[in-house]
Amino acid sequence: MSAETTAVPGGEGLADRTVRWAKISEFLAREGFIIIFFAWAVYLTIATDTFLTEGNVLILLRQAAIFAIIGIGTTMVAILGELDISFGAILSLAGCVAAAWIVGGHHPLLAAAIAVAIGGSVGLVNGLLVNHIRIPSVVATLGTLGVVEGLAMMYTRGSSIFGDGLDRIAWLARGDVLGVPSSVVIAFGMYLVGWAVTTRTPFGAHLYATGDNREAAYRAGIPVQRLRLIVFVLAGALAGLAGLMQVARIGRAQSSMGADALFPVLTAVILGGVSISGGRGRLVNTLVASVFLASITNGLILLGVDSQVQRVVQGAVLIVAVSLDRLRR
Amino acid sequence: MSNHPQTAPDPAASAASFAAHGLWKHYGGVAAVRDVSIDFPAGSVTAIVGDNGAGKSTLIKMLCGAIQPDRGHIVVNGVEQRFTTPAAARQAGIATVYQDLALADHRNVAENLFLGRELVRSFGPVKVLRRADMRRDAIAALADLKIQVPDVRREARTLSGGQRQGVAIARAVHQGASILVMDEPMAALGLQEQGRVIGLVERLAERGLTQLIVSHNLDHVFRLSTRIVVMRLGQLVAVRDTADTDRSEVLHLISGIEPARARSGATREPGEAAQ
Repeated sequence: MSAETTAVPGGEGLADRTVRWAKISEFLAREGFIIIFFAWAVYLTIATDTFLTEGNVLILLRQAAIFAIIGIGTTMVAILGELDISFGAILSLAGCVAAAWIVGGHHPLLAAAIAVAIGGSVGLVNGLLVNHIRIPSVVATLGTLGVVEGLAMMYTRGSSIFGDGLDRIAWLARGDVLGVPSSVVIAFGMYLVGWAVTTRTPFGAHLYATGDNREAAYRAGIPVQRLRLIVFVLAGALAGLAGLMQVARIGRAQSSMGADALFPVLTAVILGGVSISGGRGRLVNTLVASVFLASITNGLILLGVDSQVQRVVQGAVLIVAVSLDRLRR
Repeated sequence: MSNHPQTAPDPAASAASFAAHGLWKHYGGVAAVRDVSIDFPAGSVTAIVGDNGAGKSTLIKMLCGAIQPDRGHIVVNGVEQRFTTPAAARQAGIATVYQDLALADHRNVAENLFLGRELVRSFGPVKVLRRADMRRDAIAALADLKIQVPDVRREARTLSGGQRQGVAIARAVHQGASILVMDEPMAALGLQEQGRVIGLVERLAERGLTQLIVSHNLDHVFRLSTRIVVMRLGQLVAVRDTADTDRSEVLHLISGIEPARARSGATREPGEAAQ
């Protein structure tokens, strides 16, 4: 092909164009959804009076915040080349147990610790199953998803947990710092820490290297098994914390409350450009993608689109995102 | 280990002798390696040749700690060693370089060079990467070995096979290895790239690094090595100085068909070689 192009006068221009197109497609594949996000935001701003208002943007961010926090752990697991789908069940169980303790009169901090501990324990089980029983992570976490969801149902016996005590954590959802909802502040703060950890510390370097080439990482002396265990525990703990925050947001707890998390969190991680095969992806993109997904739901509601259609659109967005990921190869 | 890559390695300090004594390895009822004793003088470039199943890779895996021998031991600089992990072997200065298994494709050259040994600045329990220092040291380490890469910030996947090999070797040397084990170092390389790898092997030998090369390709073996070790059916059958042998003799030794033994003056029996 290159022989042909050089034979034609001006053929080098074609080669240049090929390089440029490769760069453009690389950029589109990596950050393309941000352009779609932008276009969508511009469209909504024109089509509705309400989209770009302070009130709506804060609603949007609040919707995104809790799932975005789960996304930190899920992204780190995905960078390692694994997949964790148990976070929804963890959110349910941790949320229900924490809510029951708070309603029972215990201090919210204790409840928060319990929520995080439950999440971390499930994460530990995930990590041990993957490390030592050598079950593929999707299967292992599908298993724990079922078990933990079942435990949440047994714990609540199918009823909701609510009570005056839950007012004590309402600030997590309704409070604000200088006008910004506290859940949004917490999410941003955690992303800042997550960004620093993944890009500026040896832990982050080992995380990427292990996901990229596990064998090379192992041979270089990186403790790949321990690293994987830590990341699964971290992902579980974050999902547990998200459970508490969800309770604060909706003012009660029920065993099914985590079921809605699976789709948006995984979509945000994939949309953010985290390769399922590991070694690639940036936390910041997961954050932006989480906000984008919330803006799709939010925008469709503002446009008066039927709620059933929303799922169709979300599914289509996931497919487009994965297609973009394939473009990169 | 070495935090001062700018200082050129002292050849005397990095010279290391290395030997295997009576190594055995069974898989099921089959002896993959039987009673192999061999020494690798400091600064030698030894090629290990043999047919598939001759026990070459089992032998080098034992030498670099990836598997443990059933019997026998390894001696480094006169000290008897038993490696339970590749990390333990690396501690003793033995590094293995695999073309495909060495680098993380989406990490850059500098990050790959410091893989597992990152330079950090500690703030209490928090460790922060010294990224600029690592880039600078990576440039110095590569220049020191005359390994050319376009930019240490380029992802490893953008490098050619020879450059990848160079980065992997530079990492081993930079991290203090004095014994390098290379598995098919020139496989799938173009002619020019092969020339670069040969040059690198020669420069490393001049510095006194002990090198072991496993290869199927006798052309490569004759161009790279100073000694040739032949294995057959798990046993060491011959050790020759590369200068004193030729392809046909080595081929005969590999296949087990007796050659016309015209060059008895140059030959050494394996038993002698191991002492």
